[in-house]
Amino acid sequence: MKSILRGGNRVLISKSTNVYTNLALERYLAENIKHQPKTRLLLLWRNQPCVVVGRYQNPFAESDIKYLSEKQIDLARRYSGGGTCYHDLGNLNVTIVTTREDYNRKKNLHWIVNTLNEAFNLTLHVTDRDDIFLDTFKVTGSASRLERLYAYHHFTLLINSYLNDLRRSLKSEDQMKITSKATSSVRSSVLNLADRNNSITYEKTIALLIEKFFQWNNEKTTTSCDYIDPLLYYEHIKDFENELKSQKFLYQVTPPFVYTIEHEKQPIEISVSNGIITDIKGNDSIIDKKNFLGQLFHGVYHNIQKLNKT
Amino acid sequence: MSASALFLFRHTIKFHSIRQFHVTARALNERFYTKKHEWVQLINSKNEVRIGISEFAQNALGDVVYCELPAIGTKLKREETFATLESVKAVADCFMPVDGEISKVNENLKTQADLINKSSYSDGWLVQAIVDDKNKNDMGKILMNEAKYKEFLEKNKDAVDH
Repeated sequence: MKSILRGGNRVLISKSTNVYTNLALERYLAENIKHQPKTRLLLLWRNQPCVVVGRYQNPFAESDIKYLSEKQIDLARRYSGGGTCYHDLGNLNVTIVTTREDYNRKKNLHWIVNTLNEAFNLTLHVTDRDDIFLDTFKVTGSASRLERLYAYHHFTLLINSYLNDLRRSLKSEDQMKITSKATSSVRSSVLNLADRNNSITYEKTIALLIEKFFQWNNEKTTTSCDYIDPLLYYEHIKDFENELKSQKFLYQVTPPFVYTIEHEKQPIEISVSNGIITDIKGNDSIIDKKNFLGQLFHGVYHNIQKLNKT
Repeated sequence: MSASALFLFRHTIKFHSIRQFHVTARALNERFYTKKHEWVQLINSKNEVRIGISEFAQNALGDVVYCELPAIGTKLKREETFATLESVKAVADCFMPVDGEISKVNENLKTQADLINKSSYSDGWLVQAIVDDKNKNDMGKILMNEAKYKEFLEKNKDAVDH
């Protein structure tokens, strides 16, 4: 047990493809590993189809909640900031964990860009927003979390993801209806690396990154690389995992917002704070407020949809 | 003091009073800094301090887009997280410079989180807290004053981006 938490330059690849497990594992490792200055932990993981929103985002504004539920696509909220992304097995997640002082997003991204460009003959570049673009298409989005002693920067890499599913999942009819201070995603056209060079696969990419990681950290050979089965550490990560799966964390930590619908040609404004409907403004005779005030917004969402435009 | 002593020393006494007032005023306004770039400042004689993040920190963070503040009444120890900021670059925790009980939070930040960038020492303050005498007096010992913080920033100039 102790050895999994040792410091130094290391690579860990998660055997799980469950987004809640992987996010919990990521946080557990970041918080508990004895990070040594000037070293990095590289964590590689991927998930079954899911949508992941940033810490202070509104899931209703960022994705089609109804569609996700129908297709059994998981919805998750991560601890780091940034925008919403769609994961499936064709999308590689990379996390680089360091001490707080050694945190440097640009260095991480330039390493990836140089490594991939050289190996696969691509023309990737890093943008101001710490995205990676291939010409005018986005292949990577970044997010980070800074704690007192450690920091992590994670990003996705579109290798051969189902882009139609991505677009459909991230399409939100509610975007126009929601007013809030939550962070909103900046949408871009996306592309898979495999679309530009069809020899690129998930397996090839991780092998390449592992090899080049140790070179980047000035180690002579591939020293410490392990597959990690999160199930073996269940006792340690279950609190994070339960939090990540909870309705409270998914919906109730959303920053306050106003959801506006049209009912019998009149606008109805529904105020939500901490996931609970706190106020409804609109023609009193039209809407039976008793059914909604004090309720959890995501619990009565379906009924609100029925009222809209009727 | 006797009447004659008071008369003889009348100018000294006046001067002493002014000097004392001057020192107190300076003590009230003086900011102390942590290595993680939070600042703390005593704002009244009721042991209340104001806490925020430094100019350096707001610049490193980038534009703050969201701010999560604690509940009033929360008791926190030094180095515990009291607020979380999301900027375009990261979600970052802010750590208490001193033990204290949260007495007020800056409500303006709910709608204008970027006050933290625009006015990090004034309108962009994050929270106020009540501290006890011991902590108040230790601030100068444990934390850096303006001059020491400037030195600290100089020395760490090559620190990587945040």
